[in-house]
Amino acid sequence: MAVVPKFVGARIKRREDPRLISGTATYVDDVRLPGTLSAVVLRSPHPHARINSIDAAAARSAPGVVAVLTGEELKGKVGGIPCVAPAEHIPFHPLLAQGKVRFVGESVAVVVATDAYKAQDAADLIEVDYDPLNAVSDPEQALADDAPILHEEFGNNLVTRALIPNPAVDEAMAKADRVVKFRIKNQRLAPVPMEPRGVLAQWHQANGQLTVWTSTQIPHLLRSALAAVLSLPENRVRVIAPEVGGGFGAKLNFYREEALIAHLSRMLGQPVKWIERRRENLATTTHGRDQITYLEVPVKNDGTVLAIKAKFICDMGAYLQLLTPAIPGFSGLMMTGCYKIPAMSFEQVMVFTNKMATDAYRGAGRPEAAYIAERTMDMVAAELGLDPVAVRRRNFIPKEAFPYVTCAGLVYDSGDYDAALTKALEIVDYPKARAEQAEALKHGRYIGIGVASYVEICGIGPSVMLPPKVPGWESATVRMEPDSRVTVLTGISPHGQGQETTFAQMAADAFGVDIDDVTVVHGDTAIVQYGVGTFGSRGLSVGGTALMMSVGKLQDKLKKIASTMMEAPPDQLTFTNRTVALQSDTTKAIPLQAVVDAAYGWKMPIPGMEPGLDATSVFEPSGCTFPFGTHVAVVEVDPETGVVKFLRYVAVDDCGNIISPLLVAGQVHGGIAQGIAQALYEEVVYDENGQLVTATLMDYAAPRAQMLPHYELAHTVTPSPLNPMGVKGVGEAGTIGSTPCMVNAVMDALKPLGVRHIDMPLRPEKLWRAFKDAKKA
Amino acid sequence: MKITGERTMPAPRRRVWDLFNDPDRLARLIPGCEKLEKLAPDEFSGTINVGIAAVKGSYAGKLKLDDIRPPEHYKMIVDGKGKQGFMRGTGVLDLAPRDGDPNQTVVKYSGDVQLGGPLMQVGQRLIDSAANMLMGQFFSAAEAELKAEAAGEVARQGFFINLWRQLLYLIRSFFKRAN
Repeated sequence: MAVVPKFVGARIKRREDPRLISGTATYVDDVRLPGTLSAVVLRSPHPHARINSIDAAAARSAPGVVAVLTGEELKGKVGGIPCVAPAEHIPFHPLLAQGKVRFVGESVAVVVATDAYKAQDAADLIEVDYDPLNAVSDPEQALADDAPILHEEFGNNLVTRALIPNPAVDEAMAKADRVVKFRIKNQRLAPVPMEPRGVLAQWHQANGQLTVWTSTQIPHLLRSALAAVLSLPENRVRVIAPEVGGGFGAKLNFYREEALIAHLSRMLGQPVKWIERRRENLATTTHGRDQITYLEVPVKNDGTVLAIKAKFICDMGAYLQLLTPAIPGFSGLMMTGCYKIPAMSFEQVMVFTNKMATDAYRGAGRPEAAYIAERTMDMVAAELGLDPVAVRRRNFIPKEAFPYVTCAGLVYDSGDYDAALTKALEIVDYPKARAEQAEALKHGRYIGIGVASYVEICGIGPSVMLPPKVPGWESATVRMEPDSRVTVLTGISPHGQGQETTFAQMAADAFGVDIDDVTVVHGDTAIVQYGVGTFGSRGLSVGGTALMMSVGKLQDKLKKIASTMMEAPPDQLTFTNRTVALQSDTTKAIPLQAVVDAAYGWKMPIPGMEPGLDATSVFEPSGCTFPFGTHVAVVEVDPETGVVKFLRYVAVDDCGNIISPLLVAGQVHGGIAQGIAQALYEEVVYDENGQLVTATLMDYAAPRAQMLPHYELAHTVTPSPLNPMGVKGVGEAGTIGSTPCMVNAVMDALKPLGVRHIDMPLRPEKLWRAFKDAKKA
Repeated sequence: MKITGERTMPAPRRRVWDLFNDPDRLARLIPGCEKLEKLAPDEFSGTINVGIAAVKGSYAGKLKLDDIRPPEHYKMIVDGKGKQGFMRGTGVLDLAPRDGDPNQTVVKYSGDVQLGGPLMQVGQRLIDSAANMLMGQFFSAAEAELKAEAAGEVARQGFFINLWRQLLYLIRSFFKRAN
């Protein structure tokens, strides 16, 4: 008789939340060390300018000022910020601008003073003599002959050009009844974590050690990068990610300030702290998306899609951050979505512009891909006069085809796309919704129904999927302490995902203990074994598998010891109610504590066995998982105001087996919010001169609760064969499904006007204009 | 940011031209102007104090005149900066007698200004209306100055009185349009 899991699959409230909602969590700014100095960064108001001179004399002698540094003074002392993704042109990325500034907000100098106010006052006294240069903010103009060049050494603004040709695409064009052509844009977005970035560095002169507290998703990778930039041995650098108030990919990075503040602490022999302000956050924390795609889609009149051909213009910004040029690759590879499209080809042109760098943002390349695939389905349907649902069904990969190798060479692990679509349509009552839509139109009401069936890459991933120095494996150590409590040390670094809950659920069930007997430790490189981090919806599928490997090792050891004490074979034992028991009769049991006592060597029954209960494992997945689902939205657009009103929002997500239903719901909720925000509200705007227009939260439209619908959530369950839990990942799914779903819904509402496509965000003004133009015509 | 507009001044063209070239009097008319000095016949330097939304600050800069054709036309090149950002741009001023009334002068202005720094980032939603308001205040001040000059008096100038004058001007224009 197998023991029924008590915690896995149960609706467990997040164990992290009490401290988060009671204000007792410790973020970087809450860490207070005696004698800490404050740093303020002086930033460029110009998008592109030569620095003639910097006069910091007045700042240096201002009250409370300890140090002022400029880019020239850092030359030869520290390295630059690395980009590990391959690209044709990777410029030197200094900690403070050298000779030129290339985007608004670029760090030019740093002032360290006894407090942040004095540092700011002193920063105001620095005179920088700039020679303004022409700037380029439109990526399509960046490669023009007369475009201003950001990095002169390259002779142009090209970062890299990726070309995946395929002659089968041209053959498909020739065979097609029609070729649907359109241009779409995934606009630039700001990730806006609740907690901006922040760094506290403490140099220990006595033993040449550096401790850095920073708001990051990747403490171990950051330790390696910091050690390299500062020329320190890696075992003398400790990185701590305390409570991290959201990252969304923006903290999957290594920033100038992280190296700068560490360098300053080493230079001054005192702790130095820098906390990012919201305006700095919007200007100098990585942005996401910013891809323009030109599509050509050959189709048959019955809706069969024969191929997809795409040209991408990708705006990388002024410098390359850790993974900047790697992100668009995911968009290209995933743009065939859940469809058995036999051929694809693409060209990606990545360019420098006078803007902040783009990099990973929740979904990182896959939201763009899902947007391409799902807008394609609706454009094909509109072109051929077919129902968008029918076009999807005609092209779906059938469930018998898994594991399925796509035309891009990806191996989809498992899936049943029609099941998720069918379930979503049932919940929304699709035929009835269509009838209501037609009826409403007779009364001048514009209702739209949008469908998006997405598939995405999670559980990233095998190391070959990622650039060098960002491996795809993950680590976990499990310890059973002498009092039989369990400590889990995970290499991932959760920052809102809730693995302190899910990992405790899994470990508690595995050892038959209470969830409160498990402590999950993460985010400190001096305590936790080397790990990779939290991104790409990998925490559970990769980090959780490493955890279960270590759990298994300890279970084996405990069973071996128990078997000598119980005189039963180890493989007939199980863990339940803090005992080790016979599987066949759990009343025949000995206390877990007795076995733990034995393991710690006080009464070791197995001669020669290594005492202690501690196991470390590393899991390198053999492939990525591919979660999927269908979102359906019903909206009404007001022709007088252009405002979108939500009538229904149904999300059917398939993330494989579910360990923690409440956490899955939370991830889906947050993801949908950010995805709808892209569809309707958010956009980072630089004007034609390169000035950042959306520099405050008054101007950047991050959504508030009343700007979002009520979510109706459901699931289908298609386990992944790639990990023992059969999980897929759900951290980004909501973002990926919701953006095309919402745009499809609004475009469906505008269909009677003859409008096929409007670029995001679908702000009321744009929709109001569409109605106005239609009236005129 | 592009600024364009026109305003009728109650004086012959020559007198308006003289006023617009006199740094001492201009300093009194420009809202927030703390200092204006003539460095050369076609070059001025000055300091002006402007507050837009939460971004208040003083800006020091240079103003160069070009393409001068008295008494009808000049081009200005402005380059100023302060703690809260910078402004750079060009403007063109054209003076013409009003049709059938040489005692009135139509002043047409157009400019293209680039802003940067917090001034731009925090204030940009308000910059267009702020710029229009400041231009308006300037012309209301100039109007009062020219009227007083004709009457042999010295006009009172100051930020609040010119704000009030501008308000009266807007109310008058509104009723004129309404009629």
